[in-house]
Amino acid sequence: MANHDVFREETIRSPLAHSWYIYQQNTIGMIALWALIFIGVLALIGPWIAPYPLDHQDVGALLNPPSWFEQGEVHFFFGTDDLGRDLLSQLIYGAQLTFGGAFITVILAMLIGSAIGIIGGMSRGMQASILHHFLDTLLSIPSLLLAIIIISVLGPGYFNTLLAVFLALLPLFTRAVYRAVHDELNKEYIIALRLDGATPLRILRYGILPNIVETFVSQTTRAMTSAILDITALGFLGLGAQRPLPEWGTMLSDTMELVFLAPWTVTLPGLTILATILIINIVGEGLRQAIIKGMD
Amino acid sequence: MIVLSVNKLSKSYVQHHGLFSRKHITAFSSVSFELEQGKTLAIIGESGSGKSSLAKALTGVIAPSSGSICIDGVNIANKDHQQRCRQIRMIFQDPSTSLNPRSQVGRILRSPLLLNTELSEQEMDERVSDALRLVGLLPEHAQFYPRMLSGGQKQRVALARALILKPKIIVADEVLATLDVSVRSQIINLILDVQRQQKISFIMVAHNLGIVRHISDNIIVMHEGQIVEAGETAAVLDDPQHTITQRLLMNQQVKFRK
Repeated sequence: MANHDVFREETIRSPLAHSWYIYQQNTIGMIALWALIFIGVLALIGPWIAPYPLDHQDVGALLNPPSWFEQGEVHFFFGTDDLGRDLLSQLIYGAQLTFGGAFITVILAMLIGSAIGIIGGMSRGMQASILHHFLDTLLSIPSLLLAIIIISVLGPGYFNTLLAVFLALLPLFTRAVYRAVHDELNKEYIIALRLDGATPLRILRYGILPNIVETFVSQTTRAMTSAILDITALGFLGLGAQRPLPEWGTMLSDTMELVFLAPWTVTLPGLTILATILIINIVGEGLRQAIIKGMD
Repeated sequence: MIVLSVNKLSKSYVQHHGLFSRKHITAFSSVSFELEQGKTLAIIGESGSGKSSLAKALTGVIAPSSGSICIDGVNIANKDHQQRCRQIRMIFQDPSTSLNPRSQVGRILRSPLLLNTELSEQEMDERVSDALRLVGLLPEHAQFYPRMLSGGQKQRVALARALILKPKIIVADEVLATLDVSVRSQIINLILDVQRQQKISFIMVAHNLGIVRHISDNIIVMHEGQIVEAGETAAVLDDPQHTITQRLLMNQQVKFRK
């Protein structure tokens, strides 16, 4: 067919669309993004696609090795643990607990933390100063330690873990957004917008927020990584989710004594945690680079 | 006709050093001058002489400590930006930092209209197109993002933003310093054209005395926050009375001779 496009129409992409275009050129980033979507889908519909229910125990198949071993059976794809529970099903359920829980926690922390950060950043004087120094104090404590302190008050349990991680992440977001907003407020284009007679809300909407997307992305990635690590670490220490909940860190600690007898019960959850964090970091770093490149 | 008269304008601020020691710093003090409609006033001086602070105080970026800024006899020193920006507008030094990189040129130009006028969507689009044409750009440039424009084009957009509310006075803070020579002369001619058409008064903060002599009618020489010499540009530059003015002139003439 003849080509009717005599003149190639140049469409003008917005900086964000341009950033997405740049990200699409990044092959590893795209693979990681699809893997991330896959984990997300697992977390979302895991209970319906897992081959065995959560409480299923097969007494005839204790410590079955994964299916690629000679003694392995294909209907226990990743093998079973010492109570005859299917490892694959456990890991799929665990995606909801570890990844899903971390995701919801991070989103909530981002919304609330950023809101506080924006209010702090836009205000001046005493109010901002108090927020500033209070958060600096909180930030000097590592997030896992902070979570352990909160757990020791609230008592162990999965929900308390999420709450503790949420509270530990909050100052991280607030501080990053506060700094970004504060830096942004001194830029000349914000002063120009103020001279136009813009209200603070309008300055925030059109001047500041579009220019601190990069902070949001990098901070969310970092928070997501740290949330997953904290949830699994607390689970591993026995402070978080308790068996029979198949939280990935809890699974690790539960099978630690089987490491010589049945190494797959330890390595597979461990590898899952590793892969998830790697994927999140690749996607996050790729997005950040794309946004920075999309700016100029 | 006198558009702007500034009377005993001062700005000083307190700088804290630790808990108890503080230092009063004077940016400029007791600055008085007048500006007629359609004329250009140049403010020159060494760096740190308070000329940029004065420009900022005039447009309301910083609030003056005392004194009055009267436009058509109305004191605007303590009024908010909305009342001020229809009278006096500012062009910043560096167009690459004064245009929001995430906003289309059209939106940058519409925002003052949206905030200060009651125009309909269509009228606003017309005003934006007119302003872009006035500064030598195309109406299509409204779709562009600042990163797609060259330095000179960005400065034109900045000028369009200043012009779009049809102000009486435009304050330009070293707008020519960051541009290269050919673009600089384009922008100078553009400013002179616009001034002739719209009878706008300009206040230029500048340091290139050649340009100052070319475009300005009156001149103020500042030193350490004070006006040390003022008058008609030709008279002051031909026969400088104060040592600071003489020194400034000498500096630049030496450069030309080499």
